[in-house]
Amino acid sequence: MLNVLGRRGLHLIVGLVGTLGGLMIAADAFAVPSMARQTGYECAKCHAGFPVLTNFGRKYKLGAYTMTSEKWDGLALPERLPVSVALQVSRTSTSDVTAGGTNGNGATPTDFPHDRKVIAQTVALYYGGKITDKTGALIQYNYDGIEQKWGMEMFDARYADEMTLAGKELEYGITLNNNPTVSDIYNSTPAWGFPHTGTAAKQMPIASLIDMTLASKVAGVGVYGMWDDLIYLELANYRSARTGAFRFVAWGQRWNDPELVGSVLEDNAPYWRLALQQRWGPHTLEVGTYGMTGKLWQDVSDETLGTNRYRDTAFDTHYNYLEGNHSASVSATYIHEKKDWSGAVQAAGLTTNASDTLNTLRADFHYYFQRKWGGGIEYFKTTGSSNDLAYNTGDALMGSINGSPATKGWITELNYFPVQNAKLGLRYTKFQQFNGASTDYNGAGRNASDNNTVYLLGWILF
Amino acid sequence: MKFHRYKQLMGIGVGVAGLLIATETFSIDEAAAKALARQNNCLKCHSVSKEGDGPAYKKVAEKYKDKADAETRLIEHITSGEKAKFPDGHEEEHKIVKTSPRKDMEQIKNLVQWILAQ
Repeated sequence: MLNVLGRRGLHLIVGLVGTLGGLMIAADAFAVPSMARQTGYECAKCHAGFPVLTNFGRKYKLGAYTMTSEKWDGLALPERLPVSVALQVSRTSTSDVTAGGTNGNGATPTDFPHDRKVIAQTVALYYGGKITDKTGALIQYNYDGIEQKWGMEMFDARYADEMTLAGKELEYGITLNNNPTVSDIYNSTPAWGFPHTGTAAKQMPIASLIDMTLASKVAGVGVYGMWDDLIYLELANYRSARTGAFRFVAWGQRWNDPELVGSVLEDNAPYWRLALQQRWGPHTLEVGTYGMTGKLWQDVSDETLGTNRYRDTAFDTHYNYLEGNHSASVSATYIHEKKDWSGAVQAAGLTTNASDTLNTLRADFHYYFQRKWGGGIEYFKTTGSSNDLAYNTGDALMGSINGSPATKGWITELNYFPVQNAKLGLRYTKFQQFNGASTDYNGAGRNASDNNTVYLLGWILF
Repeated sequence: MKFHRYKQLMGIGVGVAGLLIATETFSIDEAAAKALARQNNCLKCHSVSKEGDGPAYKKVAEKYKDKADAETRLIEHITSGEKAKFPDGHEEEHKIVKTSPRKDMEQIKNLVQWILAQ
């Protein structure tokens, strides 16, 4: 692993620690993110190591980010603008970037354009906080150093209010957002689940519709409510943001990019979410279900191939413990997807089956001491029906000689928060199986372990 | 005879006390108290019956039951920014309840009486 990390990686860590150490003084003096400035609370009030939410953080989000402090209320308008900046610097090292390349059909270094390079992964501008007494937003517009483009990464604007229903408090609201589950309040659903940041590696398990496939490509309007701190319900409808009044939530999206093939939504996609929450002492436990249905164009640039229908049903649980110096959490989600291929796709010989299934399981445990030191471990597993025509594409990285999406492995990550608004991370991703095999999964000699990565991250918000 | 008169006086006394208590209870404007609690995000930490980051109002009412200085003590707690202890062990200043017009003691008292009535 140290070999993969490399001397430059170690230099990066030392450099980041030094830089962030220098920023500590600035952070304490004035460089605090907008939500902390607005509420008068430290980041740790809402986050058990950002972006993981505490109970209070969930309440703050349900309330449309509108809570303020007396000090903030007394500020002049320019000082109250809830604007923040984030910078993520990272380095991704893939175990072997040439394995399987000897017969001309395997991976080559050009498949890993950012490998072993220090990159500005994200330079982000946030609007995070109150708009009016009952509306607020968390909006992230950023430069993506992996995709090398500017765009709307995250958009969640809300209206919220409270009322009494059946003798109990109901916090309710409306959200306009650009990614199913970005509006969710638990860290067990895809948008806010571990590992929280992507890497520059392109070799990723095949993902279902609700598992970030639609991120920054759709606009959804939803209603939500939390009743008696017990039942959380959200219902929404998503449409493609390629056209229409809400296309600004997908600013920067390159709709003709070949990378978008198979991920552009057609028509309506209803989303639902139901969760039960119970709190006792320092413990909080949530169990829930969520899902959506929708149709994706097989290839938006060739509409004659039609749309494939997806039905995703998911279950999740999140437990967190917060007491004194200790913070621990367990999250898990299971997503079952049924996919019906369009008649045109079948007729064109692009799929072996008329229907497929895809199952995704992720479970992680995290622990932090004094909310400064800690880390986590996650097990991930993808299974599903084999489909030779769909998965045995001959692609050097993602092609599966077995025509299978079966992938499994582990992610471990160590974190250090030198100041409350900065995070350092060292992550190791180990693939035990990749697209159907542990060895020679692409038929050109590439093994699952060749896709193992070491990822270094420095993340600061101010 | 004297005993009978004593009983009559006792009855009147109890009746007047009951009336006073009833009047006091009736004077709480529940809707206004809840509105003020919501405006000040009190319910982000407290609820009427469930433990949150702050104690349930029922528990607060129970704690201050039969204490003569209950109202004074609670007004002090929500208007002075004094330290409050949280379930995870840390302490921070309790939010100061804001009213419009500013520092309107009638609204503050109404909120405190509503909490004590839970």
